[in-house]
Amino acid sequence: MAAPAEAGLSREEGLRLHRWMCATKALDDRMHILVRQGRAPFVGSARGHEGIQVTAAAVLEEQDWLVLHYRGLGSAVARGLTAREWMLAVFARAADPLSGGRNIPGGCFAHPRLRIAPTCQVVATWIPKAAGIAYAARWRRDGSVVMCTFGDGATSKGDFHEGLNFAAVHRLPVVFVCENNRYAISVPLELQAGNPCLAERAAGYGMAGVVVDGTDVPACHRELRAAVARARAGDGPTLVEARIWRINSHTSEDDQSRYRSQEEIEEARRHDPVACFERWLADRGWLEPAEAEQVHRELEAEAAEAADWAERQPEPRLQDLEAHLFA
Amino acid sequence: MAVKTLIEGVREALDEEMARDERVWVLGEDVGRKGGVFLATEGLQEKYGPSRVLDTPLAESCIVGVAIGSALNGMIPVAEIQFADFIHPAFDQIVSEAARIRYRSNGSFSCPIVVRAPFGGGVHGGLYHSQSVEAFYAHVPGLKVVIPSTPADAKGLLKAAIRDPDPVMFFEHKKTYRLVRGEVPEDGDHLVPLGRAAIRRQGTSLTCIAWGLMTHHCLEAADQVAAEGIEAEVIDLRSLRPLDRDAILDSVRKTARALIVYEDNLTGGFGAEVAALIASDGFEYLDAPILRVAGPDVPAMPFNKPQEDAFMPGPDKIAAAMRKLAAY
Ligand SMILES: Cc1ncc(C[n+]2csc(CCOP(=O)(O)OP(=O)(O)O)c2C)c(N)n1
Repeated sequence: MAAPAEAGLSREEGLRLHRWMCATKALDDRMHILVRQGRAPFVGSARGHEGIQVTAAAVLEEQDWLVLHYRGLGSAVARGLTAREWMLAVFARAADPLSGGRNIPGGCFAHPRLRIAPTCQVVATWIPKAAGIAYAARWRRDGSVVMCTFGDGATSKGDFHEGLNFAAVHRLPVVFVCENNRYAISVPLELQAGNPCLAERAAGYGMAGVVVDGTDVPACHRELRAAVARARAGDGPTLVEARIWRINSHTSEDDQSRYRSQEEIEEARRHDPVACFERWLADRGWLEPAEAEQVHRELEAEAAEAADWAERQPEPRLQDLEAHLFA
Repeated sequence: MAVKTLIEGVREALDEEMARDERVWVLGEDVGRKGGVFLATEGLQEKYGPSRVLDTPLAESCIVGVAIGSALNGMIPVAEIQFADFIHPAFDQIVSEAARIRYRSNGSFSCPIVVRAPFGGGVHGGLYHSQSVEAFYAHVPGLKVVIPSTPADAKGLLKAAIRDPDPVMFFEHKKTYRLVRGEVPEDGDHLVPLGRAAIRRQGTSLTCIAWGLMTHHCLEAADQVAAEGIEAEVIDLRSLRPLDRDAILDSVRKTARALIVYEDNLTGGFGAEVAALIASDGFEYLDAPILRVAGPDVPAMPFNKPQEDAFMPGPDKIAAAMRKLAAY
């Protein structure tokens, strides 16, 4: 059995991360089924992002904040979002804890109990907000850290620059994680950035920059844990670029075969972080393939049950259309 | 009560609220050591320290975005945008984020921020230091939009805005900063409620509705036409959103004539909304068409003095409209 110290990941931690990844995948797969069945209108898939997403939440403490990419289901799940809660959002039910059925699932992760800050769907707008939350955390001296995630497309926006610059000026306790799947819908990274290494931008701001293979869960865990430790110690923000492969189309409204070759789509499937991590766990003798299969079955059943349950829950009342506009 | 300028009213409000509640903080360009380009924040950094009176990078989206984040984490930010003309880069943060956080999260989060910005012209500011931007924000559900026209209101409305649990856009007409003087209550709890208009002059011949500097121009015009027997009632809206519909309709019921005056471009300016309100809910009171005096539909006020004067809805233009209206 390989020494856990090498990766800094214990068996228990590894199995927990794996379970969250499987839970995310199960919800994702179930959503695709629901869309095909005509029961749910939309799915934005996190397939391929699960490893970096669950580790981003796993390295945090309870008082820390998450400011999430709309694709960040895995982070929300690892933070404690339940299958039933998520399915309430998928079916836009009144009890949906994220928005009460007002927004596309994931379009606005907002969960006070889990300290997931509200974000909107305008790409990158949440990055300066993460810096602001961190500024207040510093002022309150509550020792909390902010984890902020986004895609590679977001790095082209002014808000990316403005948020990172502010965080660097004040050496704020925030970790910026770019989930670089090399696509913004159909636009490839080559048309997004002149320098394909996004982490190198960190130097321009005066903060730490790190590239990590986002399909390598132990590596993600190691780098994110180090970044959080730097933030908590007062050593300022880090930009982590996690390189991953987007396995599905951008959303159920998109058809990636229009802009990606069949070979590339198949290549992406070979970089499935769930499978990669299962190989790593199996190599250590921590999780046999049959056991992994068992975890998948269990969580698939949970996702299916959650969907059926959520679908039966009441819709928001029409008279609440104007509720919560002001205090 | 001491007589003060409008900018002193603003500064007193900030000072008192920062002293009252340590969560209140100010951020913006040059607000710290310099005390703001109009000196609205003069002396505050010395008193409250650089972490509560912060000179930010030159980045408006960042200023408002950081303000929003700090509000989510328990602070009460007052963000200064140096000139309203430069608020456009922050439009997204204000409209997509601040205005919608409570609604979008179904009431589980709120966004108690104030965004202050000097607006308006007549100060030789040219195209980029003269704009009126209130209509953009008054269009947005989830925002409150406030414009004081007196020093007492500047103080009382700003204090109320800071204590408000929702995002408030607070626009200060820069020409009124030092031009307009008046008594300002010393009382630390001098609050002017948002959403309530003030009748600045009683009259029976016509109702004149304005905000900001235009309130003063309307009062001057009213003095001009009073000699001719026209008694204009002048309403200072103070808040565009929430709008004091009752104050407007009550006055029009009495006078049967309505004139709306605003410095912003005529088309789609907030006065159009006021006109629509009177037309739909006050139609039966009216004896004359609703008139508007506003800025022309050009991008902004020119630097050239005669052209700047030609843009500005001044007392003479307003008086002419009053006469026209009274003649119906
Ligand atoms: C400012 C803005 N422009 C356009 C869109 C429409 N849009 C939604 S997602 C997306 C691509 C974003 O790509 P990226 O940031 O790389 O994240 P990914 O979806 O690949 O995870 C676009 C263009 C948007 N939401 N916001």
